[in-house]
Amino acid sequence: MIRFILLRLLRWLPGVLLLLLIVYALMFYGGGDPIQIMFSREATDLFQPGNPRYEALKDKMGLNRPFLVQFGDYVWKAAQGDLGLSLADGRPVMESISAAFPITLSIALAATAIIALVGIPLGVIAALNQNHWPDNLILGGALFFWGIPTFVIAPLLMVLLCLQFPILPVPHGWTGVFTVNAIIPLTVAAIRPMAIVIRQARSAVLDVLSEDYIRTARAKGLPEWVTITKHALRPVLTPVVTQMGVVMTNLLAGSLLLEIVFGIPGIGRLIRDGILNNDYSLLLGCVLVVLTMVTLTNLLVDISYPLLDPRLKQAQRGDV
Amino acid sequence: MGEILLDVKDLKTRFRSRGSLVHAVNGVSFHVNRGETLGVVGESGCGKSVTMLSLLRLLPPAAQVESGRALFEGQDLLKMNFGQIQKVRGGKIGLIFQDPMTSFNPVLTIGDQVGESLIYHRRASKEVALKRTVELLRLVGIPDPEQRIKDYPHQFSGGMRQRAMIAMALACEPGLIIADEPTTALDVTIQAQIVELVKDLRDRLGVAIIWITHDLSLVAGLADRIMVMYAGTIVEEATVEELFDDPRHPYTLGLLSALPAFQAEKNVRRLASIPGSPPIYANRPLLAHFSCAVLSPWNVASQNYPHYSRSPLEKMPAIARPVL
Repeated sequence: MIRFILLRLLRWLPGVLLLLLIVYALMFYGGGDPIQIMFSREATDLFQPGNPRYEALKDKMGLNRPFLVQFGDYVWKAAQGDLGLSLADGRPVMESISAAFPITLSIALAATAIIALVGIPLGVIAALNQNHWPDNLILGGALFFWGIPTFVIAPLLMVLLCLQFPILPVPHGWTGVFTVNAIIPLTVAAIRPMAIVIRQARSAVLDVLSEDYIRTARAKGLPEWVTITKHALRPVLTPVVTQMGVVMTNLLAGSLLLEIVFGIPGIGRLIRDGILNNDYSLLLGCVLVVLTMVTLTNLLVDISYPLLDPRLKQAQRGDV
Repeated sequence: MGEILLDVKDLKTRFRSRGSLVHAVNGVSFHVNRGETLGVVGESGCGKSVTMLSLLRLLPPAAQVESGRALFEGQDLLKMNFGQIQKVRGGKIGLIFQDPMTSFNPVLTIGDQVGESLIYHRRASKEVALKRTVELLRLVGIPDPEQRIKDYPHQFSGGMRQRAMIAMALACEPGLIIADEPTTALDVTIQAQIVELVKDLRDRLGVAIIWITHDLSLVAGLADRIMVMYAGTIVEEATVEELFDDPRHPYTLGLLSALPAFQAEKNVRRLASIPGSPPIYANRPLLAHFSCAVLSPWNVASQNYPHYSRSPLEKMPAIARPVL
């Protein structure tokens, strides 16, 4: 198992390096002059090209070195946990990220839990009532919410629940998962991915129900609930867990709109700040963190497979 | 023998398919005696499996039993409520399916599946069920059953899985086992082993068997009686000797002459086949199915078959005249 995890991480490395290289190159050639960005607020021509202080600073920061050397230096330092200083405010990038990341992670985890606990049962219920009204209701609802973008449903919910029927306070900032403040953001975060999970769970259950081994279970005269819970639901978990992994990575990387709308100081906000301020050391740091999380999520999904489906045990013992 | 265990009368099953009705089983009547082995032979799609699935009401949702009666130990299987039929399934009638690869749940161990029915039919504890599973697996010739119950189906070979399937059908000591082409998915040597095993178990346990197959030669060494089905009806029903010595229906003769052994006797070079393909059963029930025109000796003479049952006890439905 340890060997499997190590191999998986080793395989992840080239991909991360390549992506970092691409982002780094984009920023290097298209992001503008970092020194000018750093001092853009100071109305002075001290830090314009040609000025000796400008050249001195550029030398000091190592910006005169060739591209690949700079990139290598960045990777080397990143491997040691140093993501450099933010160009916009001069704070270490690592600091900003370690403040923002737990928030994004807790939102992602909470939303994933909600999706799993609500979405999977709804999908199963829909499948067991195929083409009857519960199925139509659940699928219709899922499609409806899937069709509403985050930036529409978020203000809509706020108007509805905070202004029209003032049962919740207006959410702003982040005070933790288990607070009233978090109800609306988490609902918004969960509701669209949940639609996908419902559909996935439904079709997985329908697939499994048409399998021969379900007929075998019925031919044994087992009570229907045993057939469903023991024989049908376990095989369903494999595709559903795969889907949950995708949902989780999306939540980790893509809660940009959510964090902007609700003013949540998470990774999404940092990414936005990085883009708006041309702050490429911050942006690169965020990209690296998101990539790491996505990989770890995928790794978790991969590790869970043999627990869900014993046929995959041999595949993992080796070095597939 | 003698005591009737299962008595099916005029069973009709329909499938709904794209707005039309497909008449899969058209008035099938047969019986099985206690401890008897009945072979059911016919080509793919002739309604063999659907007939048996109809009896246990395991049909897919699109299919429906239209009429008929199936007395099993005096009770009509087709009129039972859900709870009653569940007691019969696995408890009094065991089923063996065609494909041992897909008929086991891949994520549960063999031990979890083989003795499972005991827990629900006999209220056995998990330990008792597991102990019985070990006995059953030993009975069907699986070596080292104490270890193998911890294995998953994919760790079993095809033949072993079919043995485990037989053990599963035997778990609650049913009076009748319906084996739906149990050897079709296996290679020939394994087929022979499975047939031997079933013979042995039948003699030891005295269980009645309905053995569905399309291999006439396979069932010849196993069955007491053979029922030939075509297009959802029984075209001929006879003891094995009668059927092989004196086939009455042209379709039976077609099946017989397609046997390689039969041909070797007659020094025929080419393997015979039955011309044409089975009829499409949509829209109207076909009463006259097998056109005798396709088989030469009956070309003209036998346009009107009475019925083909030789046992005076049987009241077979008269088969209408073939369409030409």
